Amino acid sequence: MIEVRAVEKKYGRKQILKGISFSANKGEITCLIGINGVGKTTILNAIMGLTPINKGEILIDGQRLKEKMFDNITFIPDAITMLPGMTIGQAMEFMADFYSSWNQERATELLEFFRLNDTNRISSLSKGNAAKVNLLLGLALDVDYVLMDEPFSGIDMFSREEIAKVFTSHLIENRGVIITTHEVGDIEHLIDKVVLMDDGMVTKEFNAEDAREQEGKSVIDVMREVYQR
Amino acid sequence: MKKYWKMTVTIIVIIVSIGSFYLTNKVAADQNPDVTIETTSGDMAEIKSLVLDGSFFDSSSKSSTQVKITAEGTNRNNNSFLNRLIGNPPTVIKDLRQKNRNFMRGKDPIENLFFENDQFLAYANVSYQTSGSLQSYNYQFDISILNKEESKTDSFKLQVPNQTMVEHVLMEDVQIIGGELKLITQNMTRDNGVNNTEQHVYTVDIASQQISGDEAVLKLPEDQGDTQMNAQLIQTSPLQDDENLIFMVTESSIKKDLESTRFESVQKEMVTYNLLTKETTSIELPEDIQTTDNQASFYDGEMIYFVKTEGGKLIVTSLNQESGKEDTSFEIELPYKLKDQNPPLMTIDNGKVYVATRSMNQNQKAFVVAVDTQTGKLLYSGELAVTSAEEMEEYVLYLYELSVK
Amino acid sequence: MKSYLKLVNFEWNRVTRLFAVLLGITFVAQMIGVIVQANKYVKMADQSINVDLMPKAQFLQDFGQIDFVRVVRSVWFMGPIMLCIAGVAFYIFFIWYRDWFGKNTFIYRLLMLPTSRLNIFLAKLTTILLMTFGFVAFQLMILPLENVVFKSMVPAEFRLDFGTREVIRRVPELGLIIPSSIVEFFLYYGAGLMAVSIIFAGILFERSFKWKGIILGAGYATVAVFAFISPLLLQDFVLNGFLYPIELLLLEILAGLIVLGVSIWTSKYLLKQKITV
Repeated sequence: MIEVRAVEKKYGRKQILKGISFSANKGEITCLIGINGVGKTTILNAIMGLTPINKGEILIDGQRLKEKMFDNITFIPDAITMLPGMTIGQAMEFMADFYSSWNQERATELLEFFRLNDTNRISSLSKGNAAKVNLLLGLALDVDYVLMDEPFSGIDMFSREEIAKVFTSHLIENRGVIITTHEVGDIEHLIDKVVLMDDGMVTKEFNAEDAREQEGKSVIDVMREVYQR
Repeated sequence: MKKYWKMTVTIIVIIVSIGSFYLTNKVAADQNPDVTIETTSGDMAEIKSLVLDGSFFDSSSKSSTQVKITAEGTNRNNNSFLNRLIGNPPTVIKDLRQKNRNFMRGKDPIENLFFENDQFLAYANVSYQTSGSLQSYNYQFDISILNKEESKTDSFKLQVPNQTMVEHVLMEDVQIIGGELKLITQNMTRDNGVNNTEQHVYTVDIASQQISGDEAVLKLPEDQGDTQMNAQLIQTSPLQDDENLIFMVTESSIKKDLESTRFESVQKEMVTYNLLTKETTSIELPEDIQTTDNQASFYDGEMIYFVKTEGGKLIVTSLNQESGKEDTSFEIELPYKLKDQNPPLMTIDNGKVYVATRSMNQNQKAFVVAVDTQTGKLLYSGELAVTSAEEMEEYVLYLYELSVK
Repeated sequence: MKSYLKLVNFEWNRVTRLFAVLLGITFVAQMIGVIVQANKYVKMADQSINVDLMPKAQFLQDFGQIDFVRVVRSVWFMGPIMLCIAGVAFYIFFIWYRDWFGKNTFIYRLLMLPTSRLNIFLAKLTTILLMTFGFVAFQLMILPLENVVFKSMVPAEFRLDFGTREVIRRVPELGLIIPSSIVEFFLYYGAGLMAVSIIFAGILFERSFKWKGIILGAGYATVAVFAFISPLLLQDFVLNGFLYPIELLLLEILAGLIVLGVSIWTSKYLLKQKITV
């Protein structure tokens, strides 16, 4: 379980996170929803120790982040994090070199699934393909937790569909996933838990399944309720 | 492993290239030449306590090496970083540093500022600070005395008396005699617009750390026209008790010719000052000493020696300090030729006068002689020889210190 | 240790192209320098002796023999060395900022490696060191080669021959990058390593705190430099020469090691706790 507890974060004088708390369980897809600039990416960066927080704490399976844990938790930012001069093959080699949790079989499987050519240079990839490679590099790791920042933004429809397919596959099963998005449409049916954010705070945290079954509301319905109140 | 080839190659190249450069560097340094003294006449035992300090310069490699030459051979000190850092103070200072490492800290490496006897090791120097207006300095004596028995060091500062008159103070010698510290200074003073040079002896009471006496031994008038007066203290070894101070007072006049202006001595007088009785005595000097420049004078507590070389001859005149009478004088033909304008290194120790040339190169040899000061007999003569692993086309050996251990 | 080596290898591979280009420029420019300088002299000799009919001895007396030092002193020779120094100086900063540049910010990847973030710092420091020593080693290798080319161009009677060591001794500027003794080599480059570690810490201050970080970084650098020279200041202004030179050197080495250690520790802290992508 990833626990975010009363996290506050300032950029200069501007307070981005004003005491955020939520949790994400293993085996569930948790979705952080909010408009752009609400601090979703900052939370993911904070969980990964990529930016310091001013207050609060973040626990992963009850522990604070340690460098060794990067073999157990991975982050897929919205842009690819490999050197542009590398080929896809070299990028995979890099990952295999540094991560003990790298699963080459799965990487090959994903490569085929996305119909990518491992001799292509990262700098020459289309936006959609770059996002796929980015996803591949993250998902080919045998980790318990995967964090994804806006995996669908600015990507063509076909790529989007392919990526969405991944979420229903065994590639995601049994992992704890946190994804952020500002448009919930594509993945509404995929997510287990929703954390609604506004102005650096959590406005509502609820289980998508429960909302559907007990209240007969879709995620979008709940959002409408919250934001239009 | 294939992935690592660039790094591997780089590291190997770095280690091999830089490593071999410094390795061969060390080999080259070890091939420095040896300088030895080869006897031409006499017994080498006569110079067994003689030490020649110099530096050897190889013109082809532009490398210089510090050498210490004794009867036993050369002690090389190459021009390495550490040796340059440590520096090359006079032998007396080196010995003192070895024996009294802590006492010698922060002390100017000048022999005359030190005095040593069985009981004490003393050091004194003059320090000053500018305070406010440019003209007024705060002159102080910095004094350190090591009591050897109690191995206790007293360090203190004392104001130089009559600050207002003092223009500058120079420490010339330090003595401990009769339980009192004597500071022998040359003071430039200004009194009512008149400049004077004075030789002072300050007495410092060691127990109370106070100045208990201030004697102006000599007062030399300001330069007048073409004549100039100057007093020189004849130095002795700092390791020696001297009851008497010996000053050579020279009156010289400016001689101008077409090319240069120089001073030529007109009259010389010797003044002795007894530190215990505080008596000053004048000694008249023999005619020939009065009129010659370029000569070295030595004092061993009993005799005053005047040594000079002239046209390949070594001329030694000795005076008895107490009586002021000429004792022995002799001339001896040196086995080597010398240029008069470049006097050799000379010293007198324990009844022997030692002479050594200041430099040698591939064409001109250097020599060392020892002569008995009483009999004027040549006890030893030898030549310096350079032996080297490599053939050297050009080299220069400069000798800058001749001392007796 | 293993990830450190992997990271060094990775960083080294990233800089090899720049490194190789600089080596190439150095080699070509210096060779041209040798040929130009030697040719100029030989032409002058030819003109004087064969056209102006000056006796050879007269020519040598008037113009002197040519030696390799004259070649080294030319801009063809010193220029590329300066360029390499500038290259290293530039790369000290670029080695960090390149990871933050552009859309594909590689720093995400580096900071998310399952290894101590200190290793990233150490790998970058090692890369700067490798680059510097690489240039020195290369210069030491091509100097004899250039000397051979020089000798083949000028007849023996017109030239004064020096080995690599003599050439370095006669050109103090060269002695700065290739000191004459191994002790100085370690002292110079040790001080250099310390300086780079201070700059790295400064860069990480900037990367952690942005504008405020520039002030913090500059402040840190000032304090570090002051700490490093504090034994010298003490010796001159407080202790009045109390220390012997060798003791002062040892204290300086100690001060340098402390500054290096504190810089590494500070960088480790910043990378772990304060860095922002």
